[in-house]
Amino acid sequence: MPLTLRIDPWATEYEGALQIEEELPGPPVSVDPLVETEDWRAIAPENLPRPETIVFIDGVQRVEVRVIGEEEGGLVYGAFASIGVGAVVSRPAGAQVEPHVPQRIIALGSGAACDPWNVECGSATLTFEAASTLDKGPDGWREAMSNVRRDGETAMGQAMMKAGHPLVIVDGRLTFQPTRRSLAVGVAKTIRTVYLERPYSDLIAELRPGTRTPLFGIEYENPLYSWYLRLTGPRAIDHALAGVVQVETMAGIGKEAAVRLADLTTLHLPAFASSSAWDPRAPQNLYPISALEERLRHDLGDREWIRRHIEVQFHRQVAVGDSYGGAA
Amino acid sequence: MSEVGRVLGTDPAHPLEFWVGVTEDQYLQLDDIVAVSTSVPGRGDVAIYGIVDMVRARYEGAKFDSDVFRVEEGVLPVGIATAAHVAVTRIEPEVFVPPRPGQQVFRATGFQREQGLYFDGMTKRFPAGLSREGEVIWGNLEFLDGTRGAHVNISGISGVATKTSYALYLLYALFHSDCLGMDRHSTRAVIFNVKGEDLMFPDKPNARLSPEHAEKYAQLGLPAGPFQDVSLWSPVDKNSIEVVHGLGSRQDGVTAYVWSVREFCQSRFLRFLFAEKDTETSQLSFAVSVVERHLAEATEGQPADQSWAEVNGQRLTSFPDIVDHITEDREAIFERSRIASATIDAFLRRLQASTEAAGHLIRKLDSREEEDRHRIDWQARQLNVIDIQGLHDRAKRFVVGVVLKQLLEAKDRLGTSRPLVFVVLDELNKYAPRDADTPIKDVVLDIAERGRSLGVVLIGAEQTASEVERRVVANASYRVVGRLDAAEAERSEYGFLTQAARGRSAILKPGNMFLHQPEIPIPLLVQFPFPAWATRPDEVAASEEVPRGFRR
Repeated sequence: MPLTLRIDPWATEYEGALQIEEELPGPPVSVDPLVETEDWRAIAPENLPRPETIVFIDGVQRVEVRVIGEEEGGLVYGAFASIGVGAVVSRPAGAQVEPHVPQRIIALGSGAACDPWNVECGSATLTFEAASTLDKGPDGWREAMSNVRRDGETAMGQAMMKAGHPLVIVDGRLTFQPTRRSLAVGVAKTIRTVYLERPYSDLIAELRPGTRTPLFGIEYENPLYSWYLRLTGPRAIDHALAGVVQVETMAGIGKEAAVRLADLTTLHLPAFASSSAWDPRAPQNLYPISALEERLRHDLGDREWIRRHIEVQFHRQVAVGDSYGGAA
Repeated sequence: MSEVGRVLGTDPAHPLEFWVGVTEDQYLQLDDIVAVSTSVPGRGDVAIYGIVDMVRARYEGAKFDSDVFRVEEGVLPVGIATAAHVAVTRIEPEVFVPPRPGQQVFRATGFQREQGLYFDGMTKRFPAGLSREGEVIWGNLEFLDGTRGAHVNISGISGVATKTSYALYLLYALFHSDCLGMDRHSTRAVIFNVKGEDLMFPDKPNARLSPEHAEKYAQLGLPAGPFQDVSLWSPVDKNSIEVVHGLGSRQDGVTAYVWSVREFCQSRFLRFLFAEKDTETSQLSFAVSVVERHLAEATEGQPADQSWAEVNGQRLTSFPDIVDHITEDREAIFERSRIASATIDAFLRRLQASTEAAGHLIRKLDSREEEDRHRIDWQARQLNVIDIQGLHDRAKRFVVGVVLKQLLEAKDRLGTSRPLVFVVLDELNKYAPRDADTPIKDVVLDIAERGRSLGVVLIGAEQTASEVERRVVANASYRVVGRLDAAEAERSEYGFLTQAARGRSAILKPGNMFLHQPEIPIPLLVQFPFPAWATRPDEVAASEEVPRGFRR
């Protein structure tokens, strides 16, 4: 029996249009704090020129409507979702957004599949294509959604590196290998996992703007070099870790390149730190990332409008007794 | 036509106004004419024309004013959006729908522009000026010559609004284009020169006219030169026994004007000496009419070749003679009129005061020929400039009142509206004030209300239309403003100005006017060229003769 989808009346409003913070992959195998130096102290890098271009990459995902399907007696959880990925190319003279056309997907769990849905939304027809994971849980489809976004970010990052931009900054986890000419780092805004233990971790709170911790190694599947740096000094009311970001790059680029990258980011990222009036996630949510997210969310289209038209499509389908798919 | 943008959907589009998002590699500026074609179900394509009256540009994606600095540093990525507001001038055919967001907007040129501004429907038109882009702005003659409307009203601050210059340009355009057809040479204009002596050289070419200025005349389809058929009139010199004028800057070609004592009495001119606001109390004006009647009856039938008046066997040869006669015979003159003695005293006081102000304009002349020569004859030449600037206020009113009255009477006698007579009168607020009744106001109102049928077109000007009699302003088909005082511009008299035009009127440069005509719902900015005729002695072209010692 083919998959029949129906709307799950769960109010998607609660999901918000914000990107759900990513789950970090399992606990690291081990952390080596003495990769760069034996002398664990804050490092203030010497002056390095700002790269000609700095590229920021980010993606947003939004649940439009949650759905439940039935297939061979079992329930399939899923959602209609929109995903946007884009980049900001920052030059000393000005910054430009380069967004991609948003992707529309039907994220499904249980390894289910369905035909694409063409949803007429006024001036445009949106095509939602299935993407699935094997997870059978009620939220299993989320992984499918995140995968699509992450793939988009990876593709965008690789394209930007191929274009020769010397420094590419990805919001969150770095998912692709840097090249010789072009270096990439992932910047984690929130410090959920403190990789370092005491006494090493004490240094993080002591960092001043423009300084960083020495490099430390993280043994994932792909080994990483990582470091903490401070964007701005915390206000009196903030926690001591406010204004600190964790930056990482692939260990494959070699220690020397990684040190240089750490110095570059320490020197030049603070210029992009946002003010708390601009963004509630300031200063870690960098200006270009914040503006890019806003633009990408805008490009997804009006949420109510799209949701209503998906519902209209469901109504039509029920009316004609069409039992599967929405392919028009 | 080239595409300049698309109709915005974030600001609502209306049938009478809409916003245009301007394409990045295009621009729209104020006063540009645009066209949109929208298809209406069942009605086909509807063309919507409009004029740009506002343009804005702003960041998209920025939240705070200070973002501008972050953008310049390359930290914050934003977009720049330029949009233009369009006030709709015409919808053809008349299906009043808004254009649809997203529709292409074109810059209207050629025929489209003519359509958008209704020029295509004007069978008889005159060049009212140039747009800032150097294209002709036409005026519909039918709304000027009385066919469907008449009169022009010009408002603006003295000195910078160039009201008189525009009035003179209009006359020049009418007299030197084909729009008047066969009537062109018989059409007349009467201008009162109220300030300075800058209207006393219209028959001389302007030496300061540059080739660029001349080019503008060519764009308007006009020759660049002085007026061809001019007579200039200046009041008789007060201190001279001879009948000569006292104009300082020019001697030749100017005729002194004066009225004979007999004509003054017979034609009942006395009332125009009592034309101040405060004299129009019923008692006083009654006294004036009693004396007028007395003088008219006493001089009835006296021959035209006699320039003095014979009253009760007494020969009156000057204005003081008249005053003396009335003062001495007051008992007899006012005998049957039951006017309070205090009113008669007031009347005589004012009459006495008039002697100093205007007495010299009424005198005895040596012969009938002399009287004819010095009587203002506006029918002989095309452009008649009557100089009143050097006169006392009371004398100014007297001259304006007398000339307009005679002009109306002459047109009344003629019985046809053609050929037209244009009357240019500045300081309308003085001659037709809103808050008082004066004999001149009656004449001006008469022109405003009956002028259309009589063929008398009033080109009136004033600093503030709000101080001019409503009916005079309301009867003008053409409304023109030069630079306006900002507070004045907010008054309801300028309701024809759009909000944007109102704001701009405070910064209009000399030579720029907003012109409103009945067919076009939006006032258009017109520029008129530098005068091709001299307006000062030092502008008189070198080859022209200027008396020695008068060149500045």
